Amino acid sequence: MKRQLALVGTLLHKDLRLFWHFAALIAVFLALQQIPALVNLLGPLGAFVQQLLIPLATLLLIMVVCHEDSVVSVKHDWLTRPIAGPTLLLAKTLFILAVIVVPAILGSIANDLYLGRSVSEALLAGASSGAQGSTLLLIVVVMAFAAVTTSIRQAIIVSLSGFVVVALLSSLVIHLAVPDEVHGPTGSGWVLGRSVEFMVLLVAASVLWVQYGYRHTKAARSIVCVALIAVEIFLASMTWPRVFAVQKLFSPDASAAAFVQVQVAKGCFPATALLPDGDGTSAGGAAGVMPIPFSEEQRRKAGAGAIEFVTRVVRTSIPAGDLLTIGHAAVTYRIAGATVRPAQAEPGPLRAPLPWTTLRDGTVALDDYWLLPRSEFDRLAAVHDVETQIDYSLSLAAPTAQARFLADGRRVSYPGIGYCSAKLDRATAVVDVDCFKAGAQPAQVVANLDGAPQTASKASGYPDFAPAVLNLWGGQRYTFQLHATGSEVPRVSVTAYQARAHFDRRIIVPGILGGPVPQCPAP
Amino acid sequence: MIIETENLTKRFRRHGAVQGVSLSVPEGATYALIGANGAGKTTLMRMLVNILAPDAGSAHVLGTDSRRLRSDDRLRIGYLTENQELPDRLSIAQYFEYLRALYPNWDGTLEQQLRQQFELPPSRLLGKLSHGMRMKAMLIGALAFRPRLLILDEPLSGLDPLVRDEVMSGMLTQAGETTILISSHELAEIEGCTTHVAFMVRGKLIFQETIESLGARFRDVTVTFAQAAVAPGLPESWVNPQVDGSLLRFIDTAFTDESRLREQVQKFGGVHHLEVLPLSLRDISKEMMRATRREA
Repeated sequence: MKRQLALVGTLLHKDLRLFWHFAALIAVFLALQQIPALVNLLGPLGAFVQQLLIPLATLLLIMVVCHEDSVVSVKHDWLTRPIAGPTLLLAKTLFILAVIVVPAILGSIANDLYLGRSVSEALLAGASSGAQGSTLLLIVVVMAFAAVTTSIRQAIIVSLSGFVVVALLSSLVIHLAVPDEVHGPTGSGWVLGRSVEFMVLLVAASVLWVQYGYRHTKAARSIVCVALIAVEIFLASMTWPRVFAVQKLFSPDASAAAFVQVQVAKGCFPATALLPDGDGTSAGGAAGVMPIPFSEEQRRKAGAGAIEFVTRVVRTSIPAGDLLTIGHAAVTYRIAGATVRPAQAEPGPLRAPLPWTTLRDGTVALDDYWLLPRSEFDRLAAVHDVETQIDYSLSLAAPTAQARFLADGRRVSYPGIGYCSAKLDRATAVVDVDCFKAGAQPAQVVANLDGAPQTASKASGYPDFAPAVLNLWGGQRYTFQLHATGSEVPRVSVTAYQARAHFDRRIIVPGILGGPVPQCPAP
Repeated sequence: MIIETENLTKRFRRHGAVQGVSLSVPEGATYALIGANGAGKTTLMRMLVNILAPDAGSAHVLGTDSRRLRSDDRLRIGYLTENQELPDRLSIAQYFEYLRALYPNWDGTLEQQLRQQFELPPSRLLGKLSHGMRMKAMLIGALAFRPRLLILDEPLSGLDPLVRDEVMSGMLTQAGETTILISSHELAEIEGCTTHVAFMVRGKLIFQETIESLGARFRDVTVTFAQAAVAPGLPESWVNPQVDGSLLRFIDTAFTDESRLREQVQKFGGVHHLEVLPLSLRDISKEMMRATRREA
C-alpha cells in the first residue's frame, strides 16, 4: 500500500513536470470563472472564454494527461515499468481533480468570502460548486473516452464524428419518443436524466475498470457501443406513462392525494378556429379565450381550420399549504367506451398549459389549451357516441421548512432552507432574495413577501421531484426578485417543498368540445 | 526455464502474427530471436511482457503466466523496444529521477556509470534526443534496476557502428547475471555474446538451439563434380542450391562431419572438389531467410 502511494506520488510528480504550464493556466481560469464579477467585467469575451474556451481546454487537458500514459498503446513507457493499471488510474484521477476541481472550489470559496458570506457557507458552496456531480461525471466520461482512444488526434476525430452520430440519434429518439413533459414544469426530468447519467457513469466506470485493470480495449470499446445503443433504446421506450409510473414509486405519502379532486369546468369548452391561410391567427374567439400559446410551427402543423379549445380544471381538497402541479395532461377520444386513436401521427391534440390562477370567486384554476386538426374533429364528429377523456398526471408537494426574515441583508442559516438573505433596493422597490442549500435539495423553493397574496409567490424554477437520495451531493443556489410595495423593510418568507404524492386523475366528458356535438359544435 | 511458451498464438484479424510458438529460454542465456521483418518477433516479445494478450497457448515468464504478470514482476523484467514512446518533455535527468522512484532495486551507481559511459546530456529533453541517444537512455532505463530478465526488441536498429558498440558494451555489463532475449538484425554484433538462437518465419518458430549446435550443423558447401551438376533430388536439408555447370553450391543445415557429407554428395556424381565452410550467425540467418522466401 505504502509503495503504491509512493508510485502515485511519483506519477503525479512526473505529470506535473510534463504539464505544469497547461495545468496552471487551466487551474487559474477555472478558479477565476467562479468569480462572476470578474467574468462580467470581460463582457462577451468573458462569456466566450467561460463557455467555450475553458471547457474545451479542460477537456483537452484531461485527454492529454491520460494519453501521456495511454492504456490502448503497446508502445508507451509505463507498460514496461512496475506500474499497475489501477495505480496509474488513481494518479491520473488525482492529477485531474487537483487541476480542475480544487481550483474551482478555491475560486468559489474566495468569491463567497469576498461577498461577505460566512466561512462555513463559503466552504459548503465551494465544495458543491467546484465538485458538482456533472463536472465529476464529465471528468470520468472524458477519462473513459481517452482510455479507448489511441491518440489525441483519434480522440478528436472520434469525438467529433461520435458527437454528430449520437446527437442525431438522440435528437431523433427524443423527438420521436421522449415526451416533452419530462422536461420543465413536471419535475420528472430526473427519471430520464438521472437514469441516463447513471448509465453513463456505469459505462464510463466499466470502461476505466476494463482498461486500467485488464487493458482489454476491444471489450471496452464494445461496452461503449452497446451502452450507446442501450441508452437510445431506453430513451425510446420511456413514454410518459412509464416516466410517471417511476415517479409514482417515489410518493412518500400516496394517501395524501386520496381526496384531491380536479374537475373540468362545466359547459362547452371555449374554442376558436385557426384562419384558413394557416398563418396562425385565430378567427372568431369565444369569451375569455387568451392569446394562442402555440408556436407558429405547431399551428402550421395542425393545419388551416384547426380548432383551438380550452379546458379549465379547478382543484379541491388540497391539503393546506400544499402545491399541486399538473405534470401532464392528455386528451384521447372514446367511442362506446373504447379509446380511438387519432388518424394522424400525433398521439392526441397538442397541449399548452398555463399556470394556476386564482379566480375572482377564490377557486384556483388551470387552463389547458389544445389544438385539434379540423379533419380529426370532422372524423370524430361523424361518430354518435364520442367522448373526450382527459388524463391528468399530478404531483402534490408539501411544505417542509420555512424561513421568515427581514430584507435587511443579514445572512442566516435556516434548517431545511440553507443560508438565506434578502435585500431591498429602494430605488426599484425590488427585494433580491438569495439562498444557498447544500446537500439534499427540496423539490421546490418558493419565496414571497409577508402579507402579499399567494399569487405573488415566486418559485425558484421548475420543481425537481428527484428522491432526496439522488441530491445528497452538491448544492443549489436559489434567487428570487420580489416586488415590495411599502417603504418599510419587508419581511420575506421562503418555503421549501418536498414531493408528497404523485397520482393520476381521469375526467370523461361527452362529445368533443365539452358536450355533444350539436350543443358544442366546432367554431 | 526463465521463459517457456507453449503453442503461443496471436492473430490480428486474419493475420496470424504468432502461430503456435513453443519457446524455451534457459536462465542465464543470451537468446537471439531472429527472423525477417514481420516474422512475429515483436508480437511474441510483447506477449511475454503482457503488453499483448495471446489468443491461444501460454507463456510463462519467471515462472508466472504472462497474463498474470503483476507490476511487481516488472521489477525483475527489463524491456526495451526501438519504438518505445517516452515522456518526451522530460529531460534525461528528470526521466532517470522518475525511474529511480519506480524501482526499489534501482542501482544508482550503475545508472551513473552507464550515463557517463554513454555521455548523455542530463538537461536535454527526451524528445530532442537523436535515435542513438534515445536508445542509450532506454537501455539504461532497462538495465539500471538489474533485471533478472532483459527483453530487447531491436535495440541496435538504426544505430551507427560506434553507438552500436557502446550499446552492446552496456548490455554486456549485465550478461551473466541476467537472462537476455534479444531480437536484432545486427547479428554480427550480437553473435559474440549469444548462447541460443531461435529463428522465426511468418509467425512460426522454425528452430531453436544453442549457438554451438547451430554453428555445427550449418555449412556452406561448394561441390565441383566431374560432370554437370543436377539440382533435383537433393536432400531437404540442403537449402538454397545453386547449379553452375559442374558446380553445386548449397547450405547444409544438417551437417555432422565432412566424410558423411562427401558420401552424400557422391551419390550425385563423381566429386572433383568439395569445399565446406562454416557460417556466421549473420550468414545462417540470411540463408534461412532466403530459403524460407523461396519456399513461400
